[in-house]
Amino acid sequence: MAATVTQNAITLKGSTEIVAEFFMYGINSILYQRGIYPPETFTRAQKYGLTLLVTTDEQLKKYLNEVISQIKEWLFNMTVKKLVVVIRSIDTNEVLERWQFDVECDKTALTESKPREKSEKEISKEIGSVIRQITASVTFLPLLESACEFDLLVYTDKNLEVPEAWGESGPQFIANSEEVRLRTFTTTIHKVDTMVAYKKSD
Amino acid sequence: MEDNTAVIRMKRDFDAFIHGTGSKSTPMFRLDQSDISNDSHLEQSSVSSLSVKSLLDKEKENKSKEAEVIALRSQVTKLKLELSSLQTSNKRVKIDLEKDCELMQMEREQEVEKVVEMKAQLQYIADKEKQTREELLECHKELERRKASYEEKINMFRKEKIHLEQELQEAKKKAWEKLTGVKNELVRTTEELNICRQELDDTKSQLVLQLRHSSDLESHLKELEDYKNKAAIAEQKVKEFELRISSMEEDEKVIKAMKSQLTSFEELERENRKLSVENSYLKEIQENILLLKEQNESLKGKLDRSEQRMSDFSKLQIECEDMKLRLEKWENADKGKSKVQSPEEMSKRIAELQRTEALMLAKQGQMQSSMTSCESELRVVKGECQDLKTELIREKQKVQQQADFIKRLQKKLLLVTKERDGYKSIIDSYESEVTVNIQAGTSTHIQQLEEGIGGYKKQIQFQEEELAKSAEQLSESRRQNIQFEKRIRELEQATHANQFSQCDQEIILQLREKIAGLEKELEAKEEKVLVLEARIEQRRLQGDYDPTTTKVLHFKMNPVKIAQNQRTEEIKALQEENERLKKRLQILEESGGKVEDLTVQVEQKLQEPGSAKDIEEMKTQLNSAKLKNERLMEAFKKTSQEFREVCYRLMGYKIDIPCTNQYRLTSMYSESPNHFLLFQQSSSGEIQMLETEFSTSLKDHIDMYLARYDSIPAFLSSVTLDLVSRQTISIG
Repeated sequence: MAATVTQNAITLKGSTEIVAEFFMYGINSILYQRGIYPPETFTRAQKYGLTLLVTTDEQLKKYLNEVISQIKEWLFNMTVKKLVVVIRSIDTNEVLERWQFDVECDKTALTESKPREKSEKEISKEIGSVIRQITASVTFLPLLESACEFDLLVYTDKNLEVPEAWGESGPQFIANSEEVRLRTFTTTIHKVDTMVAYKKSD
Repeated sequence: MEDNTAVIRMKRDFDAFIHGTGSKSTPMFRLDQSDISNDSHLEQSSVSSLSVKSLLDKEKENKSKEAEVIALRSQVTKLKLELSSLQTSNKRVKIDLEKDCELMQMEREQEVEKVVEMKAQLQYIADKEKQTREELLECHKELERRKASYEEKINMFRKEKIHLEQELQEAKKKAWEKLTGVKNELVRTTEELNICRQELDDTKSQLVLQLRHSSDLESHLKELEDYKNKAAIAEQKVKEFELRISSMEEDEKVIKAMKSQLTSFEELERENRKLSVENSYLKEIQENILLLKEQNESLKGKLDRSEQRMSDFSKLQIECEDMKLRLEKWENADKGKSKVQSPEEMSKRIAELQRTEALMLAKQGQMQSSMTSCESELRVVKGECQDLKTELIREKQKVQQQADFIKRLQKKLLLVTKERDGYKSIIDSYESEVTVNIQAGTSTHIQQLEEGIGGYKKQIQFQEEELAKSAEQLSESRRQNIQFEKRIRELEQATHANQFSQCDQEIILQLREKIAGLEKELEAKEEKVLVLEARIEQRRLQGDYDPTTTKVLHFKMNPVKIAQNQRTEEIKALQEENERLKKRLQILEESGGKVEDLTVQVEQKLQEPGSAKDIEEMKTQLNSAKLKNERLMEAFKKTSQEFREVCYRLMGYKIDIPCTNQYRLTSMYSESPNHFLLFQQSSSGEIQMLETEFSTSLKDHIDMYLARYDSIPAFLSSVTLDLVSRQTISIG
């Protein structure tokens, strides 16, 4: 990653790497914070000036790597619009939470090869604040009482060719939801809005 | 010595034991007694002699005696054994005897019973004999009766017989007559026959001749046919040749044509080469054309788009020109100030102007309102003015009246002063003439008069003041009047000005209304837009998307799916376990808690079609299989029935299978159901005939067809023929 991102300039490839890495850490943080996987399967890692938790579950790692590598490709093509972490109850199969990362792509970067001016430090600061918000959101999100699992949805262009391991899905809305918008960060090529929707507690 | 006697005694005892059971135990007892006495005797002897020798002797004796005693004891035991064996044998003999005795008794009783039975039978037989004798007598009587009836019948029959014999004789006579007739005819016919034979011979000879002729003719015919065939073949050949010739001619033509074509062929080839080159070129061109067509299509699309754009462009140009004109107008419109450089400025200016306009409008409104108020005031003032004028006139009249009045009063005053003077002179004259009293009287009178004058003076003064006041009022009203007039003039001027800008004002009013409406609308729309944006934002937050441009993808083997799969598997496993445990419980309940190899049993039970579902499934399967089987059986029965029926009709034999590998054939024409043939199929497939009652009567057929030709079908058909012929005979 460091090879593609120079000190003060961002290329499309570098931006893709940054966003993908953010997704990786963001998803890991959500999974840890929301208790989708047991806390003992996570290990500490230093990133964005924060101590983040990253899974050690091999199966989960494999899944995340597969998904993120595919998303990287789509980020590079700028065909991805949203990445959604859907948290579902296993018992009732009900969607309880949706962590939505809206990706706005500056499509001029596809044709322009000129790198943008923005320091990596600044970006990582922005990302750090987003992840801090994700971590802090535990305070207002309702407790997940039943056992839950998560799914990753990717909103892409309609005319995108679907890879073999992937299938089309519904948007998996929450029936009665409340939404909270979190911070935004941008690499000047990709702008990522973070928000969380959760089931209103009756 | 004792020994001998002991043996004898024992024998005697034994005899006694055999003879009587009552003295059984005594001999034994005696024996013991004897033994004991023997011992005591020994002891006594040992006590009597105490020396060593004697002791040794005694010991020896003792030993010998002991040996004897032992020998004796062994004898005794032997004897006891013998005794016991004898006792048992005796018992057995006794039991046998008793049994025999019982048997004999039983036999005797049985025989007695038999005798009784025999007696009873004898009596019964005697009774029966009596009955039979009676019956016999009755039978005799009946026999006689019957004899009589039969004799009568016989007589009847005899009569009939005589009658029939007569008839027979008549018939014979007739037959004889017929016979003679027939014989005559026969003779005649024989003669005719002879004649016919002769004729036949003639015809035969003729026939021979004819045959010869015919053979000749046949040979001729054959030759002719050969010739005909040859001719036909030749004709065919001719035709073929003709065809060939024609084909040859055609071929020639073709060849000529071909030759000409051949000459042109080279040219053609050359042309062909050229054409192929051209063709390849054309193909390339075609590809190019395709490409061009595609390009063309795309260009057409582009053209359409560009045309549209052009039209749009022209529209836009027109608009632009329009706009330019407008702009110029606008720019010209603002000649006074510096030219408008940009639309922003313009808009700013416009905004300013609008603002000023609004301000102006507001001012105008104020003005108008003030004007209207002024007009109303004016009207009021005019009214007041009129009032004041009338008042003024009235006041003037009043003043004039007052002036007249004052003049009159002055005249009066003058008159009064003259009078007063006159009176004063009179009074002076009187004063001079009259006394003091009178003077006092007159002075009071004067004083009074003077007072009156003072009153008059006051009144005059008051009147004068009033006059001055009214004059002042008049001047004031005049001033007011002038002011009002001035104002009226002003107002009139203002109203004139209002009339000039009335059209504009109307327009302005309309515009203002419009602006107000539009502003309201704008506000409403903005609110709506805000609401909608908020909604869109919310929907976006909820994860909504535009399905026309976006689709949602996810990894197929995502954790949710995996978890769900695991869950379903778990549930399945739990259900199975539950089932197993239920069975376990059931077994435990059935056996009351004591079961060995519980798990094995549970497994067995699970292996068995234990669950109701399995049973039901199996039942349904069984039912369906049964149904199928039944249907098949029915169909099979039907077809087999048909087949058998057809076989019976066609072959004339009904085939039954009484037991495996045996076939019973019953003919259609058999005289009794017992007439059937039996065949057996051996394991190697050969069919052998078995002997039956019926087959023994068919010896000839068997010899003929089975032995000689070894053909069962032939045999069967011969039997059928035989039976048919027999039946037809019997019918005939």
